[in-house]
Amino acid sequence: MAWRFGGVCVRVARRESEVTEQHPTKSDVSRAGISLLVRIIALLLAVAIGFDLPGDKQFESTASASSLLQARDKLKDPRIIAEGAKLFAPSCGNAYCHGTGGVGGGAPRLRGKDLDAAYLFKSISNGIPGTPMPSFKSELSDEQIWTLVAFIGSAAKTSSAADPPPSLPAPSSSTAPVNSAEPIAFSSLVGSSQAGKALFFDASQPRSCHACHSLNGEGTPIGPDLSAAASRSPRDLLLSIILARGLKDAQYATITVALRNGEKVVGVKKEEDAESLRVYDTTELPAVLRTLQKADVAKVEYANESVMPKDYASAYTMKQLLDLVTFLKSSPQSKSTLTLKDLFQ
Amino acid sequence: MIDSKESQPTWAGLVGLSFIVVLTAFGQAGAQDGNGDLTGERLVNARKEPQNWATYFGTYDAWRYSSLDQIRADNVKNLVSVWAFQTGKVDGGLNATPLVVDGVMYLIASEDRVFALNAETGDRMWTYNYKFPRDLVSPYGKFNRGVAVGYGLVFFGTMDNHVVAIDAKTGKEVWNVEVEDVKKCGCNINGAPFIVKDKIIVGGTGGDSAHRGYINAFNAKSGRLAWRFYTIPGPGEPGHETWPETDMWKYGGGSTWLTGSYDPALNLIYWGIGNPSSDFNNSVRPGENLYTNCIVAIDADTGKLKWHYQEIPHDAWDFDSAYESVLIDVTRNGKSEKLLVHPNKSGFVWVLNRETGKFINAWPYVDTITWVKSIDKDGKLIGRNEPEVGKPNLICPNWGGGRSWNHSAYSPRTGLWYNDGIEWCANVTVYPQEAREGRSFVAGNVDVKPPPDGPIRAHLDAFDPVTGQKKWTLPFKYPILSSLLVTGGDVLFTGDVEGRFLAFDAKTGKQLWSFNTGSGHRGGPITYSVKGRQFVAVPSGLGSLFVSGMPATWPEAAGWPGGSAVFVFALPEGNRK
Repeated sequence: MAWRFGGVCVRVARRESEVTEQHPTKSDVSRAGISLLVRIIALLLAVAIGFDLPGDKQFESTASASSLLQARDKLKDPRIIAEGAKLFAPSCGNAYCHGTGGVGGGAPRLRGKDLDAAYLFKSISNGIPGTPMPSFKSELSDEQIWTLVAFIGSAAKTSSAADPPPSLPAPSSSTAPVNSAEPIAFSSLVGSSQAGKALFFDASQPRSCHACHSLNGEGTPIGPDLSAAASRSPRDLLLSIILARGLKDAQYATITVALRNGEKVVGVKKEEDAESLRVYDTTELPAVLRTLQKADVAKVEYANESVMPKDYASAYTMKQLLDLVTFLKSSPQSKSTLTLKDLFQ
Repeated sequence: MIDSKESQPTWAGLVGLSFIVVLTAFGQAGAQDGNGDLTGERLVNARKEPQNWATYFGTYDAWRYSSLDQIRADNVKNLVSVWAFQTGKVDGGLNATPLVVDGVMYLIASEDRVFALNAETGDRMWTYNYKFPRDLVSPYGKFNRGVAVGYGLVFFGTMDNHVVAIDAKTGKEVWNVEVEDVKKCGCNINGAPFIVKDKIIVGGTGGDSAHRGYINAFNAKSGRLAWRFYTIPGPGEPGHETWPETDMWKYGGGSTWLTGSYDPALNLIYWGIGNPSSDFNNSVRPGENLYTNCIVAIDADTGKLKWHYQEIPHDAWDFDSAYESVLIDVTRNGKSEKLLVHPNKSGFVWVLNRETGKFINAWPYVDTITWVKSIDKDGKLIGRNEPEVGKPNLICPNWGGGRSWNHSAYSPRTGLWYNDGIEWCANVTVYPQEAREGRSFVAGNVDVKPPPDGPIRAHLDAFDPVTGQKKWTLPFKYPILSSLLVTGGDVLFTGDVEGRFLAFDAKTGKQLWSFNTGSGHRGGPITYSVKGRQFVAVPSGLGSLFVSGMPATWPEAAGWPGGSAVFVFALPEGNRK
């Protein structure tokens, strides 16, 4: 693409373990240094700026003036800066983002601006809402983020273009195959939470679950939010997917609005005010949120059933249904292991 | 060589103008009827309504040409400023092309703020402020290139990936559809939609994220999805075999971030498809990677592919084919041919037969090209010079393109195609990177370098669109980032990055007039008329990714002020001839 606005910055996951593996000696040394740095900086921020502790939360405050000075020194440590420079190139330096060495990209210039270290840490960790700057919290460790802060605050050039970072393992599929090519004995069929998640959020299937349901803040809340689905039984979840069941919540009743021009809008009501009715038209997915002027409405009818399609029993294989239920039963804290048998108990 | 289909300015044209006077003499009622009668059928004949600029490129053929000829090369020096409108927020600049329909201007500014203005006076009729989530990380920025207008509605895509229709009379929302969750897909919409028949056609960004691109058609009145064309074929579909047997087809980019063209006689929509991702590391996606870097011809009713032509198979340079498809009919060797002229980021213009997709020619619009040695008579790339992992490689033109996305113009009167170009290069370093859905997937860094033969420089040119023969050229210090506009008065308009709005003689390239608007130009100038008076409107307001990157190459650019305003010009009253 051309010079579009800065895209989401490159995330090359270079977890500490990988770095350690590739550069054991050097990395061990700097890890020790960085770990200390994190503790000291955390304290510096907490004490001097009243900032939320971004680093090791268990660290107790016992720092002296000399350790604060030491923290500032660490941000100037050439080894840490060098680590940051290496990490910066693939993580932040692409041309759609901050550019090579932090200059010349589509996102703001970073180098030579004397940016506040705490602000930098927070911005990298949490992202900046309202801009294309994403959160790197899930990709980079605090230690890694601090190396970036050290590099950005330094006058160092980025690592030589002739010295790209070590190769990473070949890209692997982020989703497990939905159907195994191998025949599987009935009783050993095990649901895959990962495959279920891929189905739930499958963008290429307009009728996939996320088009009408939300889960932990993702998806579209037209029908019930499914964040608490893990507390329901596998059988209950399966039946809810494949059967047209009675409505549990009148909020999701099917609404049919006949307009004076002859058009009919079928879907779920979102809200209404004195002049208008806002309805999710589910005739085609993705659903269309339509604002219908009451003056244009001839008739409104509600039916005690949901607009959820009734053919998921034939649209999905049994293995896919098991994957979906396994995903719904899983939470970030616990991965659920379900077999086909569990769906019928 | 080029068949000039458009007639010379005639008395018929003047009679047409008088007719407009009569139409608009009914006053504000005409200006505020909400355009309910502007339909897909009427847009087919948009060229017969030169008083309007009713669709993104002016007309479906993407000429950016208006037959209005009150303002001419011999009187353009008399232009005066008539009104200006400030949108109120300069963040993101003003990248849009305004539309004007029956005396009303529809303008979209950054953060999806939409305005309806009296096109004669600049008086604001209504404002619509799109509500977006406070915690939104907008993956491709806050700016927007334009709206579509018709069926009494104003349509636009949003920074959080919705398509919205609002009432053209009141600015109140009528329908709103979320195309895909912005948090999951790393994609959104900043290109202008356009109306074809009863549908609204819209593309999207996401080509530098791990995402699978598409073109969507929605029913204009209801917002219901009519069809979706995926730019990467799924399993079992023809073309899927041009991707490896991994999940890469799901993450291979192919975005549709600008606006397509349409040939009503063939009922085909033409769209330039974006680069494959990861942008610079093509080793993760062996194969041709269809339909990335293709021109696709799609049936407007069904969304089915009629033909495709891939300009750059297996791209390794981020040279997507997303720019405008200019539809021109020419007579060659005594035969009339329907052609498609397509500038690519790579510095080449491809010329195709738009009925069949057959290759006709490829010619360079910049001087400095090193990514390939040549393109042979069959369209084959000869001597590919690809960046590789661990080996920085000097690639020309720079990744930013032989030009940016701002659009060219074609005049049927001169038979010339007007375009800008940038001479620059870059050291490209490739990094291995793993695909993660919706996350950036670029896999390379770029260090801007001057070309081997001198400093970085730019130019504005007039070409024969089929052969590439240069008719005239004008040097510029900085890239031109404003779209071009050419008129029946043989005036070529554009703006520079320092804020000057410029008029040239379309035949010779001679500069005729300029006006400093105070902030650089990144949008699309247009012309229209109200009550028989021709106006020229230009968005002013520097902003966009290209602009953010400029100070690294041109340090003085760091001091250029932002802005977000429309300036409108006309000949003084009583001096219209």
